[in-house]
Amino acid sequence: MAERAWIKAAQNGSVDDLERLFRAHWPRAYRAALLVTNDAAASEDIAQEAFLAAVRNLDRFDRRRPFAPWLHRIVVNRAIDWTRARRLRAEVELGEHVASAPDVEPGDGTFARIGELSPEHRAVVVLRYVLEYTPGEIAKLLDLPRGTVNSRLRRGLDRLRELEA
Amino acid sequence: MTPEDRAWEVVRRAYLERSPRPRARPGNRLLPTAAALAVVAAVALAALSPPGRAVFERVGRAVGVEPAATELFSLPGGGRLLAVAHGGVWLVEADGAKRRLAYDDAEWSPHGLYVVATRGDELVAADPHGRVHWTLARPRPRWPRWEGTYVDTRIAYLSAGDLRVVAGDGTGDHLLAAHVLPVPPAWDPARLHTVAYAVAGAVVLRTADGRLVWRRRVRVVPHALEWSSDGRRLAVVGARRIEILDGAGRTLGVVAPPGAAGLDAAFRPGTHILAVAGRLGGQSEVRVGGRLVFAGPGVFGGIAWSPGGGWLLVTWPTANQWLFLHGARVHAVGNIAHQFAQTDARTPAQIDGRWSQ
Repeated sequence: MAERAWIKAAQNGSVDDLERLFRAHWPRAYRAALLVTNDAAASEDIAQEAFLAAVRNLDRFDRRRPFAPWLHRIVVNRAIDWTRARRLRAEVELGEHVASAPDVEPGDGTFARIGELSPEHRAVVVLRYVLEYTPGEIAKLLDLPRGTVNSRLRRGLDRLRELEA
Repeated sequence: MTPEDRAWEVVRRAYLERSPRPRARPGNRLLPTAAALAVVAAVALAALSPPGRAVFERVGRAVGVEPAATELFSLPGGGRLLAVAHGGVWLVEADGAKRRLAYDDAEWSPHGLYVVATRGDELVAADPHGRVHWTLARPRPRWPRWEGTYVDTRIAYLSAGDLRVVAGDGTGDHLLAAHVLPVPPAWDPARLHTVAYAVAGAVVLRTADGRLVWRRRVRVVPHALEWSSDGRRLAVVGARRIEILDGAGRTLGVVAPPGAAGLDAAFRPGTHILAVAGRLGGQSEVRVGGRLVFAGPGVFGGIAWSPGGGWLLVTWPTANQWLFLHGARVHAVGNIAHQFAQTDARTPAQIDGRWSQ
């Protein structure tokens, strides 16, 4: 499998293979962060920080494990944290955030409305319907009971349908 | 540049700066230049038998190459040096005496009388004997840089992604620019209290009280900004490309060796001659004014000129050595990680040397 070979080569000092790994995973990591945060600059920072964490832990990474879930776990958790923090800051910095335009592309259908969900609901919807993890995998990624994942998915989708109606 | 490309530059830089894993000793290759002989002398002497070593040393001396010294017995160019390693900061005197300073990072004051240092969430001004003059609590201060006259100085530093400036006596700390790139600020030697810094896609020159002097777009994601000592040249140093600006911010030229990576650069004091270090294929090279002065396997860490411009220090983490280059002469010093008490001497981290008068 190419990914394992890239990780092994990157562990041995190959910048080219690290770049292959980065290019293969950046789009989905960035998009996941963007859909949770609805902020392009923050998403860039979050996805970049996740890759920096990968670099810091590269030598210890177990190549038998898939890379994507490990990366997405960092991305989504940090995106949730960032979104919660922004909500708190908005109480005192409302003007600044009102002035900033939403960054999710227009015409993105259902996902353009994901920003209306709570960060917790956004995260599970993105992981399920954008990154295509199963509810069991999402439960592991976010350290949540499987039932909580299912209920957040259900409520998230219900809310999206309400918004579309 | 797309977000993906920007992020890749940052990730790639972090990857190149991480501590290398222990590797097999590079093989001995006899290359046809004095610089190449220096490589072999520096790397392979320890592996030779005593007779072989003696022959090698004779050959080395004949072309101006010395065997690697086991300790830093003296600074070839005189002056004093701050060695900044992951394990802390060391002050090295001209006679080789070393003293550890309890800081994470440090830089000299303009005349070498004090150091400004960082320690956790603290900016510290102290004298080289360790007496603290003042401290300033700020979140994660990084890369303090000090400039000015004997009586009027400023310190620029980064804190939590912002560029801040404080007077040399610790007063008047203020925000100068928010959301700057993680690049050490660089004071303009030709304009008092005027500092260059990097933002996304551009380099900015601004006075310490906030007046914009110029802002220029650059096609480099810089990791360093290096002024010539007369302030008429500014090298915007990226990993693969160096853009040279003049004092007004106009682009004068670009240094972009095909296939090169991990570039570092510094102007020789008193000149516009640029020393450039970087990786090219499987080896690293140092060129001064375009002329190759040293090549070796692995990765070079950083370069620094002696105050008079006579010696060029090249740190070489792969070989656990510092190299002092003077024309064709190469003075290598080994066991750098041990001398500067790295936590794990088998994997020497990059050690930067900052030279003062």
